[in-house]
Parts: sequence; structure tokens; C-alpha cells
Amino acid sequence: MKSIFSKKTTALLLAAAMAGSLLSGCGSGSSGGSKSGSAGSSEEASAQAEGGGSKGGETLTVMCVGTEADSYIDYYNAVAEKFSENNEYGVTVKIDFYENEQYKTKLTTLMASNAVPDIFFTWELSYLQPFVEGGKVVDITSYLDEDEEWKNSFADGTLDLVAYDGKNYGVPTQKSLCVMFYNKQIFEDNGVAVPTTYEEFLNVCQTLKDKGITPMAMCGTDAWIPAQFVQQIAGGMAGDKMFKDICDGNEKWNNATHVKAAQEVKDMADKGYFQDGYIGMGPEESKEQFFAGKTAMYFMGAWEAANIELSDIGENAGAFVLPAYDAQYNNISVGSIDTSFAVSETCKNRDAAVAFLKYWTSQESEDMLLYDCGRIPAGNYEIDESKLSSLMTDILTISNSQVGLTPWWDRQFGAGEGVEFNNTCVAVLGGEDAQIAFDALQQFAEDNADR
Amino acid sequence: MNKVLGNKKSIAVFVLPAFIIYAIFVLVPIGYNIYVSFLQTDLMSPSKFVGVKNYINLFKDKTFTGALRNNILMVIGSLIAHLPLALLFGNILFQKIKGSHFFQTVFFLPSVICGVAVGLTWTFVYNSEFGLINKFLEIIGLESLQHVWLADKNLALFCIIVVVMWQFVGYHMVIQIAAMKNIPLSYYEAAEIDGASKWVQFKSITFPLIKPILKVDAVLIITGSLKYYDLVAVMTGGGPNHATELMSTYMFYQGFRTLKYGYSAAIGVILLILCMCSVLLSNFVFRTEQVEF
Repeated sequence: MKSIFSKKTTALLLAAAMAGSLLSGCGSGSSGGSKSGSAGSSEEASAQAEGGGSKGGETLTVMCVGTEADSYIDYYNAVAEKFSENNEYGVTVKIDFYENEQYKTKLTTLMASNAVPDIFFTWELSYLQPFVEGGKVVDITSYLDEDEEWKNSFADGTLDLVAYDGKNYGVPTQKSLCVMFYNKQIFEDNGVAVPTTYEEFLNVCQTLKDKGITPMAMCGTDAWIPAQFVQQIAGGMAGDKMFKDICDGNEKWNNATHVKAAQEVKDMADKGYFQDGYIGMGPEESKEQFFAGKTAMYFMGAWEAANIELSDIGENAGAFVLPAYDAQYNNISVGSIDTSFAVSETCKNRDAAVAFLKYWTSQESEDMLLYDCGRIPAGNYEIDESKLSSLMTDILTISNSQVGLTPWWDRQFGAGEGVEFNNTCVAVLGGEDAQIAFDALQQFAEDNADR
Repeated sequence: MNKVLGNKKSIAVFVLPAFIIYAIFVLVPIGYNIYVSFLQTDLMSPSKFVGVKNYINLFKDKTFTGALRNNILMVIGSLIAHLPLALLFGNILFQKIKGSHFFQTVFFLPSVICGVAVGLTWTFVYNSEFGLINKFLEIIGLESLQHVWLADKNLALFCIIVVVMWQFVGYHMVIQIAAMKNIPLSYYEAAEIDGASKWVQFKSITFPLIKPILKVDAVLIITGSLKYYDLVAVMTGGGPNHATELMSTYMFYQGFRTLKYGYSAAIGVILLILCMCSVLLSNFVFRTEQVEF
């Protein structure tokens, strides 16, 4: 340490380190810039460059939500591969998957810097709206008008959820709704039947509880999960009129129905209808309770069906629609379209991008997604029931019998009132007075309008 | 050498590259952020100049004032753990006790683990079903004290503060020990000959002489806990119902989730002001003359 050259060596090392970091900084910067020509992240740029270079043809990049744990990503990739093999534009489609939260962050950042890949996954309603208003999304109305057959293949109203000012910006590929999954074996062993009224539903819960079985699996850490249950019960109390009134501003968030529905769920929690410690359990943990046959029911979006069929209960799973609190509002469920895609304004080959979405919503790929992956198509297609599992038959029956669907609040209002509604429901479950909690939500909604 | 340093131009040549990088990555973004904080914008549609409305709205926003309060609690918790406690541990290990190097390493270890890993580990410790704490309470027969720690809005923040205290106590301890090692041993020898007790030695020799380092350390502690992000993001995500929201997590939420970038930038500016105030405050509290040994 005390040798003569210590100072010199240190200085040299430092200089080398500095030069190294500078060079590496320049290196990655220039390669990112020159390859793609856009200000995108280096990942995006290299992905595009790779695909483009290897085949000679153009590459369409799709950004989508998903992780390795999601069984559907193989099927999505299969759709992309099939399209890439044979299309008149000679393009190759490549889907990049990102984890849900990461996806939201990445998309907003890329949007603000004009570097979004050609096609991107989006939620409907208020999620896509700011991007549309900011002029970042391609108006695909003309493509739909040109191809009447394609336009008419979508079920009624599904396109409207991704349309703004009468123009279409998104293509929904799926429908989804909340159902009550149940374990047929547990129901049979305990002599309970699928409830048809709300009273019966509560009786089923109580009977199971008395026999020492936890009736429902619930997650408390991800606020949207208890919130969709509250929303479902509120829909059963007041129908979808209340939903529309809130959307139009004719009804307040702290209306009596919301307070009563939240209180109802809190009562269920107090009676022990959810597993112990649910309030601190994440989605995976709580899901596992149902998958492992520890709880009898699980209220979740129908997208979970494929995972349930792969789990321990497998064939024993069924689904029913939660009977409404007030029987006249039966069959109004929390549900919407799902896995919509939009074409980004930065996309150069728009025809090919739309053609890919058209292929995704074609009978061929939607059939594959339905029969192999349990995804309800957004279009009106003939369904071959013999190819469906019993769980998917249940779900499609429910889906077809719904008279009204109310989109999740956090999709209708996005991360403002929507997410705060979710948080409010968790607060009530955490012991806060329902009236006070929803008063606070109303106050938030009024304040938030002007931020 | 002096010839080179005497020339203003040559100084500029050496300082300029670093300054340019600093300006591009620090000064310009700060300036842009302050500008954005006066707008109502999602950075895509045309933005609207709203003056200080974002700031007025912020202080009416219960979530923000809650986050501010949480940040202040975080600062207090960190100050307790990272100044008096770290000093105490540091002083014990500074004495020539057996295995002091080993314990230094042990105390320092948590601060080199990445925050996300620490957060995940502690979520398991706090887990209500199989977590270490609840199991321990069960074994010693104190089931009544069991809680769903991270989902309880009154407890969650304190659970996180405890983790922060644990994680960085070693880091600040090492800084303080390093400062203590700079003090010439002859001072202590002289004090011992005069019959000064360990406490008097600490009070009259160690503490005054490490004050300049404590000042820097205090700045690190306060700014560190003001801009704290990773543990909260991993352990609770600001929940339940914003009970553990910090300014930084709320800034992220308003920016990247609700696309209210102007509002979010205003939180950033307030964070910047608070950090600068903390520097002034610690300069004032630990004001001292320059010492040379």
C-alpha cells in the first residue's frame, strides 16, 4: 500500500475505469440509435434489429402482458408464428411479454418518448383514452369499414369499449367476466348444491363453514380482487343502472348500495367465509388455496379457467354466476372485453399490423385460444361444445346468459377513482367504517377531477 | 503541477466533461421537472399551464399529506437507528473486543443485499401464516399478539421502518467507525492517564472529533429516508389503502399509473426542497470547526 507507485497506479486505475464507463456508455447509446433510428430503449432497438436482420423481411413487434408462469403465452406465440409463416406482407411477428406492473410502467414511458412497438396490448376504456387523445394510436375505423365481415364478427358493443369519439382504435380479442369457481367434489361431499339465490349462497357458505371448510379463497393485498367481488354484489343490489349513473356523474361513489355491498363482504369476512389471514395474502397464495382444494369457491375472472384445469382440482372445477342480492338483477356480472390490441402511431407497416390483428381474431386462432387455452373469443363464432371442458362449458353458458356486463371500475376509470375504489374496499375489509371510507372516495373523486 | 492548476483554462478543460455530464443528467432534468410541475399534463396531449395549482392540490390531498407524514416517521426512525444506535454499536466494536471485525462484517452485511431481496425476505418474516414472527409468538404462547403485519394499516409502516433500521444500521456504523479510527490513539492514552472513564472519553474526545462525519452521515440518513422507495414498493406497494405510501411511491403512482405528470413532478420538487432543507438542518445541528489531527 505504501509503495511509491501506489498513487500512480490508483490514478491510472481510476482513469481507466472512467474511460471504460464512458466508452461503454457511448457504445450502447450509439448502437441503440443507429440500428432502430428511434429513441427507444436499447432492448426494443436490439429486438427489432435482430428480427429484421435475420429474415430480410420486416418485423412487427408486439408488446404484451404475460410472464413465463402464464400458460397462455405459448398460445399467443403460436398465433404470431402461424401468421409469420404465411402472410402477404412477408412480415415476421414477434411478441415481447412483460409482467403486468412492469408493462404499465414501460408502456407509459415509451408512449411519452414516442418509442412504442408496432402493436401493443391495452386495456379498454380509460386506459387507452389518454394515448388516443395524445395522438399515439392509429385510428383503425377505415380498416374495419373496408372489411364488413370482420367488423360484424365482433360481438355487440365489444368494439365500443375501445372506441373514442366514434372512432375505433383497438381490437378486442377476448371477452371476460367474473364467475364463482367451485370445487364440485367439496360441494358433493358436503351435500350442498349450486346456489340459485343470494340466500342460498350465504347458506352454502355457512354450511361449509360449519363443517370446517373454508368457503371462499380471497386475496387482500391486491385491492382489485376484493373490489371486483364488492362490485359484483353491488351490481346484484342495484343493477347496471347504478354503474351507468356513476359513469355519467349522476350518482355518487358513496351511494347506499356501495356502502351496503362493501359491508356485506366485510360481514362475510367476519363470519370466516374467507381463509384465515386472507387480508395479507397475495393473489398467488390465495389462488393456491382453491387450487389445492382447501377452499370450496373462488371468485375470479374467467381467464383463470385454464390454470384451474391444470391444477390439482382439474376436472372437479365448475363455475356459476353469483346470484344477485336482489333477484331482479340476476345475471349482471363484472366483465368486459380482454386482451385488446392497438396499433401504435409509430408503426410503419400499418396494413400488416391490422392484418395480424385480423388474423388473431379469425375463427382459426380464436378456436385454438378457446379450446386449448380457455379464452372466450370477442367475436360471434360457432362453438363446438364437444371440444370444451366441462368448466369451459359452464363459463360459456354463464357468458351467454348475462344480460349486462359492468367493466371493472379500475378499467372504466383507470388509476384514479377506479384504483381508489379498490383501495376503499380493502380499507373496509381492514376494519374502516364503510360509510366513512366511501365518503372519502367521493371526496377523492371530486378533488381528482381538477388535478 | 501548480502551473497547470494556476491556469483557469486548464481547470476548465478538466472539469468541463464531468460538468457537462452532470448538467445533462442532473441539472437539466431538475429544471425540466420544475417546469413540468407547473403544468397539467400527461406529456402526450397539449398541456395546460396551471401555475402553483398542483402544489395547492397536493396539500389538500390526504394521500399526499399521509405520505409526507410517513416520510417524516421514516426519517425519525432512521435517525434513531442510524445515529445513536449505530454510534453505540460502533463505539462497542471500536473498543478492542474479541471478534470486532467479525461483528463489523455481520452488521454491515444487510446493507449490501439489494433492497428488493431484503423486502421479499421480510415479507416472509412478517407473513401471517408461516412467518417467523407469528410462529415465534405462537411458540412462546403469545398468540394474542399475532397480527397480519403488513396488511394492518396501523402497523404496516412501522414494520417497514424496522426493516430500514435493521438494513442500514451497519452501513452507518462502519462510516462512524472509520471516523473514529482517524482519531490519534495518543488522545485516548492521555485521557486514560488522567483517569477519564469510557463515557467521558466518548463524550469529550470521540464525539466532538467525529462530528464532521456525523454531519455528512445525517445528511445521508435524512435524504436517504426521504427518497426511500424499494422496500415499500416490494413489501406493500404503498397499501393497504395508501397506509404505507411514501412521497416517492406516490410520485411514481401519480406519474406512471394515473398519467398526471404535472402533479407527480410537483411531488418531486417538494422532495427536492425537503432534501435541501435537511442538508441545511444537519449543517446547523452539527456545526463545527474544521479539525486537523
